Amino acid sequence: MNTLERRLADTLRHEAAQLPHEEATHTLIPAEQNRTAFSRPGLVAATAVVAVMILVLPVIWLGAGRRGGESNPDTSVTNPPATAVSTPPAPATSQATAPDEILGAVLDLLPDEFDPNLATPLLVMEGNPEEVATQYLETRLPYLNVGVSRVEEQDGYTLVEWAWGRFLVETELEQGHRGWLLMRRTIRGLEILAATTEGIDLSDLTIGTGNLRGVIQSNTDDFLGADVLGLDENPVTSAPNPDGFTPGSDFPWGTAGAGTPPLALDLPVAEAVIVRVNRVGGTLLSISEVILNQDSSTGDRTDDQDGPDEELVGEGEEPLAWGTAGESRWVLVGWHLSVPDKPTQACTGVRPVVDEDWCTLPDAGGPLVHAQAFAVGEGGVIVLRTQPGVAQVRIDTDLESQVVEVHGESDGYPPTAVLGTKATPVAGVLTPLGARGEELGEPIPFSVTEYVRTPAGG
Amino acid sequence: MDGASEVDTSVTLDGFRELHAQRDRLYRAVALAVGDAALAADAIDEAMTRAYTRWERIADYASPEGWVYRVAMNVARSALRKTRREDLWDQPPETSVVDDQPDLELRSAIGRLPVKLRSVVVARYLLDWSTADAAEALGIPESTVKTRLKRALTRLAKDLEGEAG
Repeated sequence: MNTLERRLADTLRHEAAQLPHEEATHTLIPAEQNRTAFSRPGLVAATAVVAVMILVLPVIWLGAGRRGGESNPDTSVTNPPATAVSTPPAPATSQATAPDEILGAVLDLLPDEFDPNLATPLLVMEGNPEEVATQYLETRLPYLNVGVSRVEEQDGYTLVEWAWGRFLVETELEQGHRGWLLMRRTIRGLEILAATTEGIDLSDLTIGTGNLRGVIQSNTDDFLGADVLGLDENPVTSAPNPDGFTPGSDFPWGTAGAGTPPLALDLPVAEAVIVRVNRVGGTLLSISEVILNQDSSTGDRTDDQDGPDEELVGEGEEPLAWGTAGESRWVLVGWHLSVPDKPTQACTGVRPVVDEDWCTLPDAGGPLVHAQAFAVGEGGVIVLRTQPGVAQVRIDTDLESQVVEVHGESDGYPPTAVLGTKATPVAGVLTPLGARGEELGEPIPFSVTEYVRTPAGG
Repeated sequence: MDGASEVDTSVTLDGFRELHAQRDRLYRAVALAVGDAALAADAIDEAMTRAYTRWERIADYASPEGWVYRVAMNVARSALRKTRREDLWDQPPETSVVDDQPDLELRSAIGRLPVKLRSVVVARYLLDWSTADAAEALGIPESTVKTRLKRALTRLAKDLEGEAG
């Protein structure tokens, strides 16, 4: 260690010793080694348990549909028999499913083609998980006293358990259903990606062939109604019984199929569709819902692996793209920067290369492209910051020429594209292109910085 | 119940206790790296929380404390990006009659380093990790750690020369 290094070590030790003592904010190891006493979701649930004690389940009679009941349900949809969705949450449910097993259990009930990393959301809004869940449940199960009974976090997703009847409060009624809402936090707010109902299995459904096809299974005799809707909430034209459908009124369920389980679906569909399945018995009793895309790729990510490295994504950040360069994983993250007296700025940065964050003011004009190339391990990542009018960017290097489509301008993300590079040399020029491929502006040279290459054989 | 199949939670939590004993040391390192003591404390607690909830996985890592340092740095930097805060390196140095007087020139130069370089410097010279350990902790190649250390030392030397001149 030379003189400067010794001075450096001494100074750091001196500064560290001067720092205020900060006590840990948690009792990290409970005396009884009880993990739930430490977990934040557990604390939330415990707090909510107290809140639920004052709630009373309105007495409702829902005709048929009791668990294990006879299969002669009243399948007519009646007027609202009970109050609307209640808040705050009212958890009186079991904790049978371990927190780290919930996401897997939820995904097991959804089609294989559903990818939570790429899913189109059913609902996006600001708010905490309970608020967002309540808003959603009010629209899907408007006639029941549905509550939120549990909130968990797993692998970057928020999982909210919904419940009513005997699953929500202690009651002599046998009636009740429950399930989970799968949510993802993004820079736009909380997105609900899917809803599931305990015992309703959509995993057999496929859309890849141009037909939505498969069998919906249920573990009760309750009547099932299945709707296959376009993103405008109207039944797809191929739905067997779309006549007379008015969303939210006289025939709000079962346009694609209805009957006692199992329920088979087979209808041609185009592009994205909403698959919505309800148990029905006097009213809508449960909700399973997901959006399926013919092409599940959203196009604005350059994923080459299952998901982003969660350790590279900070709180409040959204992973916009991720991949592997060389032997290192990287993630492009987005977030909002609030600066007093200025508009909120949309920012992006690449992890683990962390210093070159970019923030832009909204509505910046001009067909410009800024490029920043980073070294990550023995590969590189080129981030393209484009502005309105740029639809594509041509990348020319000594070895190759390719066009990277630019995505994100339409849905509020910073207009950014990422190219993960695995080849050398990582240098060349970028040319912004319009939607018809016309050149916009001047070509921009770029090169990967700090690029470290391991010589062949060395 | 077959006792052999049960998880020995005491062993598991003993391992976490050993990690948690490093909390204060890691907190001070993160504080110096990001320049904010309160933020560092929150970030370390968040990282410890994540480590605890995933301990069965983290326990198998070669360097759990490195993992905590990295996660805490990410948490802290995420917060820093969203708010403007006063940097402790910009504040007057703490002095006491019993301590050695701070190296003011070097302290000032350290404060001017970007966090990317400072996080590596802190890992190497305060936490006393090898470049390989620092690379593992920060999730970057060892060659990058060496490059950043070299750049940091060069910048510090230049700054000190400038102040001396």
